Amino acid sequence: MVERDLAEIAIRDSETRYRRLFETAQDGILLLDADTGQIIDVNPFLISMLGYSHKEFLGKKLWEVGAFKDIVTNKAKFSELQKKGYVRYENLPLQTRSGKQKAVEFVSNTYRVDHTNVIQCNIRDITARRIAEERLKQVEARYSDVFDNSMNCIAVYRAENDGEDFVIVDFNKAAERVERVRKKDIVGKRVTSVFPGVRGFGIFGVFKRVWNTGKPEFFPAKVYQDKRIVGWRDNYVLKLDSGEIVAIYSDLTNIKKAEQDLQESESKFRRLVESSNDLIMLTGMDGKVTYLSPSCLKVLGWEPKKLLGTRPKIFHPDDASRVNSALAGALKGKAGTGLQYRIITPDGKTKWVSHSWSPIMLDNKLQMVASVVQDITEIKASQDRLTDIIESLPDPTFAIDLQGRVIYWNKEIENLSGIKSEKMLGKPGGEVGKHFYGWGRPVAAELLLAPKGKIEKEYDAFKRQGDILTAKGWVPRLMRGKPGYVWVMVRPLYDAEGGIIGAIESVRDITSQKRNEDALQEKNRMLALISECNQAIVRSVDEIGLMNEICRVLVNTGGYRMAWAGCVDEGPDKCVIPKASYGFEKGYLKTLDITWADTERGRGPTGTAIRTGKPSIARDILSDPRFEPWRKDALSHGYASSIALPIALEGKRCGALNIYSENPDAFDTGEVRLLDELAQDIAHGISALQAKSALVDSEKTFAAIFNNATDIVVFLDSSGKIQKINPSVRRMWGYRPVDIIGKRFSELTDLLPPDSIAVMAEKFRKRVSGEEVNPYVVEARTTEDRQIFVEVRGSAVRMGGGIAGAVVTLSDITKRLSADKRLLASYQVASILSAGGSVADTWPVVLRTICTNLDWAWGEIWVEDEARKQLSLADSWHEESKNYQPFEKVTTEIKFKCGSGLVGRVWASGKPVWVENISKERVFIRTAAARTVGFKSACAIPIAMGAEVAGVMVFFSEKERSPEHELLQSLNLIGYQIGQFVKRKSAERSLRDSEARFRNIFEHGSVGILLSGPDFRFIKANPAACRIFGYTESELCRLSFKEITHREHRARDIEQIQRLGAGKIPFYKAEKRYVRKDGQVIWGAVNVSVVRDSKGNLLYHLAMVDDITEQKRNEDTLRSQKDQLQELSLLRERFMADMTHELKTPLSVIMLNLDMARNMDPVTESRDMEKSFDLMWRNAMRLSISVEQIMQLTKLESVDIRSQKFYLDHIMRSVIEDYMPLAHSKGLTLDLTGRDIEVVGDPHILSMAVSNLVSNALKFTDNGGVRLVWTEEGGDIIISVSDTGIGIMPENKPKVFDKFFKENHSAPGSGIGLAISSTLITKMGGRIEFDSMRGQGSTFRIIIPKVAKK
Amino acid sequence: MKKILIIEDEPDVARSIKMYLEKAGYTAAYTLDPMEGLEKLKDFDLLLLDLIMPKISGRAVLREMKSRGIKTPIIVLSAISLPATVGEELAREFPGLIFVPKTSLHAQLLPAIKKTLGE
Repeated sequence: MVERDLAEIAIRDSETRYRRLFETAQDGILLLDADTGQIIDVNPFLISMLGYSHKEFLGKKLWEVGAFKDIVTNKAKFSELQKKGYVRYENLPLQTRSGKQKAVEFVSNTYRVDHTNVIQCNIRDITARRIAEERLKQVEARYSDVFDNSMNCIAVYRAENDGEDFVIVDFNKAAERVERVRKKDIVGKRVTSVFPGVRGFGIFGVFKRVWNTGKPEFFPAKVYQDKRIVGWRDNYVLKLDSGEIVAIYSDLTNIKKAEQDLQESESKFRRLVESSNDLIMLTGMDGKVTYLSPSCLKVLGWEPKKLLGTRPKIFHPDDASRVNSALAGALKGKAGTGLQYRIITPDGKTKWVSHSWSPIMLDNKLQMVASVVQDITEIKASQDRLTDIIESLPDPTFAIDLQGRVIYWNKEIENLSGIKSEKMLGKPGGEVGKHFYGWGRPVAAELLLAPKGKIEKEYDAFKRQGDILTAKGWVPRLMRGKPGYVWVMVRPLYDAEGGIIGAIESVRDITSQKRNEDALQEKNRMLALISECNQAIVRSVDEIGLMNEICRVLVNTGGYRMAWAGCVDEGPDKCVIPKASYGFEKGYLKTLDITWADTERGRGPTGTAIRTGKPSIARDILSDPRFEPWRKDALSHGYASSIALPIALEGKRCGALNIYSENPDAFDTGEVRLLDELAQDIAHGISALQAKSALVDSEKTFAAIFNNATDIVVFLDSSGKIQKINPSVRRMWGYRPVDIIGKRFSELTDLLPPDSIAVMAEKFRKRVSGEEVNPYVVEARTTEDRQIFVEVRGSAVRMGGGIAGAVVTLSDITKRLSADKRLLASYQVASILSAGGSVADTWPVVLRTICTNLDWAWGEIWVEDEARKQLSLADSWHEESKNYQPFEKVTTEIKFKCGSGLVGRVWASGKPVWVENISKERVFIRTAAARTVGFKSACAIPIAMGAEVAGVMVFFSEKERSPEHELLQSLNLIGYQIGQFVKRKSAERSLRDSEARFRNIFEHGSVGILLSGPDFRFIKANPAACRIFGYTESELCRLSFKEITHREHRARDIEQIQRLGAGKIPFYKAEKRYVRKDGQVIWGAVNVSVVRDSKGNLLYHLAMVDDITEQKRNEDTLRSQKDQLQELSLLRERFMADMTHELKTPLSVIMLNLDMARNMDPVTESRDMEKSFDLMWRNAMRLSISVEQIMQLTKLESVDIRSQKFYLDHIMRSVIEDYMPLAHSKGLTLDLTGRDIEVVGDPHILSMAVSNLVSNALKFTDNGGVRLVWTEEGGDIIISVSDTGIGIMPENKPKVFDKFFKENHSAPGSGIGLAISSTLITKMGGRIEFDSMRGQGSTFRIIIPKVAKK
Repeated sequence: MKKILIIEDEPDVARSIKMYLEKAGYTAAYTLDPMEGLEKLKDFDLLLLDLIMPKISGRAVLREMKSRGIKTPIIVLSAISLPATVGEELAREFPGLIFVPKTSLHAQLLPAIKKTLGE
């Protein structure tokens, strides 16, 4: 029992202890019957936690309690618990009875108590913990984000060994990036091993210090450096609560670098600016200097501090305004360079500076002006020195700068050219060329500056010695327009540093020197001539041969155009018979018909020379009268002068030698003397020949002649084989005699074209058969494949009565021939151009002439189009038998731009071009087509109009032709002639156009044009003028402007025209009236000017007259209409004001009196009452009249006249009665006179009109009176109302009948009475008139028919 | 007995007002000539002034009074045709001026006089 008791006690104690535990536990405890799932017990904590009562738990199944509903929803779950015996939920959400969410930790386990399985559930409220945890997580996450994404580098270190070293704990992304490490690689490593430079850097000490003290520290920017990385870092180091050290830092490398760069750049620029020799200056926008570089003192001579903050006033007075305006422009944003001006230094010296500036924009705003100022005093001085030097040079000299502008022009060249330096300075060099050459030819100085090689290529006349160029040349306008030869020397102009800054050219006139040289050359030519002639004399075997040879020498060596020798015929006709000739003769001699008799045909040079025995010269065939009989022929052969030399043998006249030159005045005295001697030599030669004859060693002479002949001399045997040929064949043809001897001409196929061979064969046949064969020309080819023309002369060699062969001479006459052709072409073109055809007609003829004469297959002319943008084909020509269709097609379709193709190139350059082989020429555009039709060579010639090129001529040849210089020159000349022709034609056309234009203006213009002389008499008048004034032109030409001017304008016009004539006014313009022939006055707008001659003398007055009568009329009408309207509207306004006043005044009187009268006693105040009623009555009347008038006014337009028979007397009297009181009140008389007349009309209207007149009369009369009188005159009644009143002002008289007119605006009344009266009386067929004299009175008269018309 | 002067160019109006005022117990006189009125004014206690008169306008009279320093109280007799702006201008130029329209003299004139004279 005790034991049981004890046990019981123990149990109870234990139970109590447990129960206390159960009841005081801070966790919720739930006991379940494991078998049934019913709740056995629940502790108070859980009850208070979940808010359910003890009862609500007990006996229930767990899932029946709301809080657990969701957790243990079915028995399956519970049985799982039963089975397992243990379940744990870390974080289970429970709902309390009041709906709050609780997070709990739920743990349950099963055990047995007294045979019962019990499930104990421990439920711990973890809500607070959960919230704290959540918050922590969020904070962590946030910090982690901050950590990772911070722009700053963050490194976390943990101290090791009591702060002896630090281990890397964390590294954010920024730090990874900056230090170029990966976090995973370095975490856990020592900072000293990852960043070995950390101690030297100094941060390590900071780490230690912060770890020790816990105070954060800032470690300012410094360079960290180890073998791996270098960079600027600034650090903020702090200690976390956890004891970890955090370094927050940033990489300043880039910033520092930029700073450093900036510093370097700044100091670089500063050094640059400060060490600059030139002054660098900054100016603010107020014009004040804000910076001056140290060279200020050196450049300007001014201390910088004197100028800083000021607007410097240091400019030379002569330059100040120029500089200031330039600098003002700078402040507006204009840049400027090289402004040169003078400044005055503080010590009063003058310095030259060159100033360049540019505005500086910052943020799109002009902030300041930066200037560079250079001291150029020295340069100026040296320039001046240079100028002095150049000025003092004895030769005409000028210089150009690198841009080719003339910078010096000395006195001598001023004298030479006649152009002052101020005219030339600054002009391009082309101007110099233009002056001297007539076109913008580059001057030598420009060529010196041109790219190397250009001079050598284009101007072979120049010689280069080092950097000096010299040249000689012909200048067409050297000395004030006269031509001359010059020697030119050009050298570069150097600056102080040796750079080329221009070129200086000296020109020396060597015309006379050149002339001497020419004379020398001429002498040489003559000497050669004489010597050759002498040889001929020596070698000749007979007279004719000698003469022929002499003629040949004269032409070939002497350069004369033709020479002939003639013999005197002693017969009665005294003929001169040509015996020998050479040169361009072409039938001239046949037509010569010269005699040496003293007749017309004997007075030419030949006849004269033979007759007189002295040389006779025709210096200018064109003008020499003696040459008349032969002039035409001579000129057409191109002879310009001639000389005839007599040949006399032993005193006996036997002939004359005649020489013709293509130049006029070709024979000067020296030449004549030499030629005369030559003639005497010839005479000797002839006599010697005659004397020698058989004795002469003919063989020897012959051989000499043969070997030395300039022509090829060939001996042919009778079969035509070449027996002998002289060495000239080598010179002329390029073959050795041995190559040819033994051959026939027909075998020389590479020498002679087949047709030449045919010709020669035929001629040879004739010659051998003894026929006379004239010299003839064949084509041949040299070994260089050059085509030449060979003149063949020959004669049969007779031996022993038979023909042994022939002697043939072959002369190369290519040059002469082509010269002839060229000359011929030139002459023909000149004559075509002067024929006066139109441009279009001329082209084909010109082209044909050139092509046929000068052997071109195709010719074309290109001319500028209107806009001068391109060249178009004007015309082309080819032989009709030829077919160049493909080429023709291309040519007609193409246009050339400047510089494009051959045509464009010639157009651009103005220089002729010879294309030897088209296929090889890249610039040529039509190559394919040209090749197709077989063109090989071409030449293109500018059609030059002065310096301009108006077009291009191009010629094509099927043969390949090497450049023929003379031909090109001839064509160039022709091109120039054509250019002149085009220019003349275009000038003609524009003249014609302009003439037509002016004539049209004159003839067809609507403006009258009158021309009058200094005496003002008209000289010419155009149709419009005749129409305006109604005169014919011849009638007008007998008049002057005075007669057609309206007299009102006459005096003024005469005065003005005289002033115009005296030049006091430039023109005279007026709108004035004229009087036509029919007397009608018209308005004209005239503009007169004067035409003067070059001396300023007055030639004509030119008057242009426009008829503006209609315009004037319209203007006047318009103006008067406008005035009327304005006046009317003003009147109406006044009327309204007056009317209101008129209505209102009587009304106020009536009302006031009515008010008074109401209160009056009719007995005691009867007098006052009467007075009141009087006033009221009168004003009521006045009101009534006013209203009546307004009514009338409104009705006025539609009032009807109602005619009836009535008597005047009655009407007049009733009017007078009406107005008698008024008259009395003003102390005026009012009477009437008139018979009683029966009238038919509207009595009311008449009464009203008369009333109105009487009323007016009384109104405007203060003294005297008014009289009404009526009479009968004819069929009219005249009613007059006269007063002695103020009268009407004269200027107002026309307005009296106007509506609303009142002379005095303050006068009573509406101003409408008279207007109404007048209108109505007019309707009745009558009228109202008046006379008035200011101050004396007026009389108005109504005039009406006695019987009004219906 | 207060004395009132009327300056008014329309004789009928002037005469009627004079009678009207006398009936009301005032001594009244009128003149058609404003200059004459100005001379007489010193003997009167009140001025009735027409604005629109042919020779000298009411405004000119007012200005003249101002320049001469005449302090006599004034009632302006205004016309209907007077443009509103003119009235406003006058009121600005001469503050305290009393206007009585001519068309309602019978209704407004006596009260205005009484008020002005402080009766």
